[in-house]
Amino acid sequence: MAKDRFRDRLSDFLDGEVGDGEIDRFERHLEECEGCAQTLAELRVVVRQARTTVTHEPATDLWPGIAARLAAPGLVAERQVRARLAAGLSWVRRAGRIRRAVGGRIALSVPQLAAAAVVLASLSAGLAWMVGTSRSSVGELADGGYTAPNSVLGFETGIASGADPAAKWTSAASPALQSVWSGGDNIDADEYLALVARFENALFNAEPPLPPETMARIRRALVTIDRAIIDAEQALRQAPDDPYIEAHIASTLQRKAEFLQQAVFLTAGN
Amino acid sequence: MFAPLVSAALESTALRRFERRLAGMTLLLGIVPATAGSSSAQAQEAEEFMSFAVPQSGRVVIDHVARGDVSVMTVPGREGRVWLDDLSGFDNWGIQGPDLVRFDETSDGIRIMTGTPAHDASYANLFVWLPEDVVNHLSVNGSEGNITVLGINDVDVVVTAYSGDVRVFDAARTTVRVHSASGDAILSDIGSADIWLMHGNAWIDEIEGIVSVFIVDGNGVVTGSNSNSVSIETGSGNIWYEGAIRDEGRYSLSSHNGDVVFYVPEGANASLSASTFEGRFDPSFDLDFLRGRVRNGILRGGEFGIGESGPPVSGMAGVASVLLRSFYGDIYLIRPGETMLGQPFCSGCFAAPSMPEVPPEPRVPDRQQFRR
Repeated sequence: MAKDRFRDRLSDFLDGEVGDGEIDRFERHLEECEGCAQTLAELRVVVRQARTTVTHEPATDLWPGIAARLAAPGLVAERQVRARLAAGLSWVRRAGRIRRAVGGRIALSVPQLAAAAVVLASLSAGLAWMVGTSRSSVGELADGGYTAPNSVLGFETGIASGADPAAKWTSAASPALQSVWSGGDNIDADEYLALVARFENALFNAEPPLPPETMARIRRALVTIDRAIIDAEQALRQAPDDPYIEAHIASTLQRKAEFLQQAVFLTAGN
Repeated sequence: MFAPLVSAALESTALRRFERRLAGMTLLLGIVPATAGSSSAQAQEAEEFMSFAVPQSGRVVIDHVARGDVSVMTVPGREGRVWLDDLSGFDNWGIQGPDLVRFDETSDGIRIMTGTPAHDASYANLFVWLPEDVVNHLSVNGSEGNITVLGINDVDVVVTAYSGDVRVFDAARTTVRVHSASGDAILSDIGSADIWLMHGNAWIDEIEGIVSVFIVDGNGVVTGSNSNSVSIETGSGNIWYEGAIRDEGRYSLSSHNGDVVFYVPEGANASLSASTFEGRFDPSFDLDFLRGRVRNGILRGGEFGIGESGPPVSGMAGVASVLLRSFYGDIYLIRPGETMLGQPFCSGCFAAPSMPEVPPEPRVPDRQQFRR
């Protein structure tokens, strides 16, 4: 299982944590193993994004921002969205926090980092779909009907294909969606934050708007998810080397990404 | 399994009763023909249902934009039928007669629509009977009200709801997807389920295929499962799984601040990974210990084996994989028939759901199995 041995230590290799004698073996393996080379390239994207923002201080408490947003149920100011996203959603900053918490080294496993890439791809593809289909949706609305979006989105890719639910995250952005997003692998941190901000703005400023009660539910749901992220962050301070907490943060962020994507489905259906 | 009963009832008493009721509904008088020029719907006499044709293996999309409940059932033959009840608000917008329901042909089926997005004051309960063995896809989109799908089989069912409960019964050969902003999803005797709820509980009883449940705020309850692939996640709520643990099946249950209860039948062989941060891991029977996770003197989880032939290894032939996670809640392993100590679930979680308000006949049978 030499391949697994290398793959499991790609993060170490990336951080210069392997011994001099191992570097050659890693490099030879990477020349031969396409899968590991691909994974390493993806990890480099994530880590590069992490490094671009690692000097930002994390928000110590997201709650005031969330509460402020709840208190102003109208349009969501982009500044607010960006502030919250910067603190609560971005994998980039999350990686930075974890880096600080564990002493300067990103201690995420390969699957977790790979999950981060999936989050990026999912959000990016979701926005691309949103932008790409909004016009036709509006057109059909003007004709008195609307197109149910479920049939064209990743929502169907899980069960319809017989895929296991555990693989849902990898299929959240369907091939059709991925095909309309060409820049997913190359966005930097700022682009990512702007992308997500636009994504949420699209959600909260949808035309026609969602019913107020639905908007309120979406906000409450975001608060629930953000609360879970905050809980995990606080727990990580107590137990910085706890792999369970890291995994929990990773999965919660993934859930948030899916939530945003699914909420856009509702917006489109409206 | 109730489809034949429904069909038989429709053939006899129900149709006649509905016809009589329709005859007394002044609002529906004048429904002749349905959306001329854009539909395959057949013009009907005022005293009858509106009917429509569906191409073989066609898709049916129901958009109930008006507020009110939607009920979808089956009917023998090749024609579907539509009936509206308890209408209000439409006349305020000058909508009457054939405009109450639109039938639009699509490339591969038909779209049935009531109300328009602008007319949010309109209200009607919509009943749709689909021809048996004709439709291969059904989408039901509701705005505000309960949605019930009864006895629809061999069809992909997709339900999108903004507000209201979704009920799908007696669809053992059906894959059901529910996407809801607010309200419970109550499914019984279905093939596979993919549930996404923002606020609401998922109740699934009797399921054979894949179970995939994601809830932001609500409980996930699965009973009578024979699935070999189960994923239930909730941010704020409890999870209860009671069913078979199939060989080489995969079972993943995760909650942030709720409890997780997982039934383990006698004789099951599984590799178990359990973990909670603030809660405790509490199995009611002995486990083969592989690796424990203890914090502050409390067992928080670990890696365990379940089985009679020693600790099984994940990925081994014949061994199921079970992953249980909760951040704040407790994780319980219990045997079927055991009762829970301490009542970890909120009161009322297992109360019987209210039954849908479908027409007087066919009446949905009382689903006693939901009672706990």
